[in-house]
Amino acid sequence: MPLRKAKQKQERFTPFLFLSPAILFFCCFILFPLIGAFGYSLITWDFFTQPKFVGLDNYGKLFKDPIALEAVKNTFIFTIASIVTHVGLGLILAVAVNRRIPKFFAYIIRTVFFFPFLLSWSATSIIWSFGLDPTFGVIDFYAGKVGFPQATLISSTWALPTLIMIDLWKTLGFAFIVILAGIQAIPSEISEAARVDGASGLRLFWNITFPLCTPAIFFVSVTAFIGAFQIFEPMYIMTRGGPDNATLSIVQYLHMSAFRNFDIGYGAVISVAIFIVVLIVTLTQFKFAKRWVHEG
Amino acid sequence: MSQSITVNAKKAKRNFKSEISDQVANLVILIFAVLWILPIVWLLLTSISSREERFAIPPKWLPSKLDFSSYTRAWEVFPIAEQYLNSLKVALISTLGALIISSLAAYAFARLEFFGRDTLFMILLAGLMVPPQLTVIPSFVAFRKIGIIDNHAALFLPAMITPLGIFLLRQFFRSIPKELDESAKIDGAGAFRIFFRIILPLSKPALAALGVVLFIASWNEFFWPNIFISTASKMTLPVGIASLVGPGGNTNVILIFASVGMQIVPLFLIFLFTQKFLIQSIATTGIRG
Repeated sequence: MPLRKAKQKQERFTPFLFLSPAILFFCCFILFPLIGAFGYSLITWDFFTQPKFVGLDNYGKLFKDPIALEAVKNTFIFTIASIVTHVGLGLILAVAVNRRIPKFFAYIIRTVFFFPFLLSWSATSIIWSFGLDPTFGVIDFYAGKVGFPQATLISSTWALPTLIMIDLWKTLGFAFIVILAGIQAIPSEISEAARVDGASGLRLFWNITFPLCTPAIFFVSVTAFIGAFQIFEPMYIMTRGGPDNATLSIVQYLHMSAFRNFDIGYGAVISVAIFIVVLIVTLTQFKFAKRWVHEG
Repeated sequence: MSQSITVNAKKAKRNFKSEISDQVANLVILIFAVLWILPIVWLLLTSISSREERFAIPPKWLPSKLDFSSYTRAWEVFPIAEQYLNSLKVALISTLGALIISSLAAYAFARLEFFGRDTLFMILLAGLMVPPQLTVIPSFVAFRKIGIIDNHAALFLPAMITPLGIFLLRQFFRSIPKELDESAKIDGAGAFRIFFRIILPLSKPALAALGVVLFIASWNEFFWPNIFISTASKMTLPVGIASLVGPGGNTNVILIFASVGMQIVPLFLIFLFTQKFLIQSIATTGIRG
């Protein structure tokens, strides 16, 4: 009897043993920093001098800051363009590969479009900033030959569209394979039945393929949103946010405020704003994803 | 009879038509694919071209003789070997740590019963919504206090907690038939024994998929290590290579080409051999890196 009790006690303790590392790391690297960020957003501090409590002043500053507004505008354009292009081209590619095509051909397409996704943003940025270099860049050279704008990374009109294109080049592979997986999960009986009924081409696409892979498309849109909204590396490495803040992104502005200008409180306010947007989008995703799962 | 002939002819015509449009579509995709990969090809070819041909106008695509001197020079000038090892070390420790911590927690959530289980799970899962941009400032302050700035621990410790990893593994563990651990329980096995002897071995595919995705994410991470590491010999590859360009960077372009080449070529070889597994892992875990 006492033995059994000891065992029961041990069993009550077991879940804690399994969970303690996760809880410890969760608190140290997610929960406490989360609370900290809100705390820091209420002070002014430069890492060195005495921090000063300023209440909501930093938030007020954010709403009156023209550079922040510029960063929000750029990030917004980047995000919308990113979602549209990723979903559109990803869908076209996935449909194209899902036909009866030679195996080798499918392999080439998968390799070519997916490989850039595995590259780091640093490698990607260097490839493109050199390729687009006005003096020796091969892409810039051919762009000039066919009458496209040149030296786009140093033009305040074209720098942001160029970065949008480079982002598409790097991450289209992800949208492509997720949507392809979605299409391939459609039971073949359904599309066969539609084919027997005479549906083909565009009709098959709009009536069968597209509606049945909406969960995949939705997922791609949400991940594209979150990825694009937090975009940092290409601006940071290729354009430094320029020219004239034309490519400054929100996260880059956060980085600048906190780690270049050492305005910790203001950086924290920007990070809180980013968090709130990500939070809303993710919660929306959860809500819709649940509904889709229920509807089958 | 004649009716069926016309129907057949119509069908044949339609087949022929769709055949042609199929071929056209293939051609368009092929052209698109060649254009897509061209920047990488250009970088690699330029990196092995001789000094005279490198940046010729109009561009000379195929070098008349191969010149690998930029690679040997880059290897001497930049701490690439060290940065490769740093990236490998950080990615391995992050991935292993995350797999251990996530699988332990996922097992508790999937199989054990205790007070507040679902609430705790929801709280951990909510961590998914906390972006690194939010935690970076408080983490920087805290890490400075305990002295792990410019230290690899600042990179791999925070990477070990992945709410999405816990979620995915919990899903997978729940798909393992409960009868397996019930019968082990009757044989007197405790929770730890069931976890190590039954659940983990059966979860190898899920652990591998999650592992490879976490590894890639760590390997390519830039935002965090760019803030926390400042010494060149401690940098991971992405940070090291980015520090070569831009203000204060190296102006010897061809050496940078070679350093990027040294990153791309091994990656591409690995990708060729593991393509299917890699793509499947990323598609099933849905992690965009």
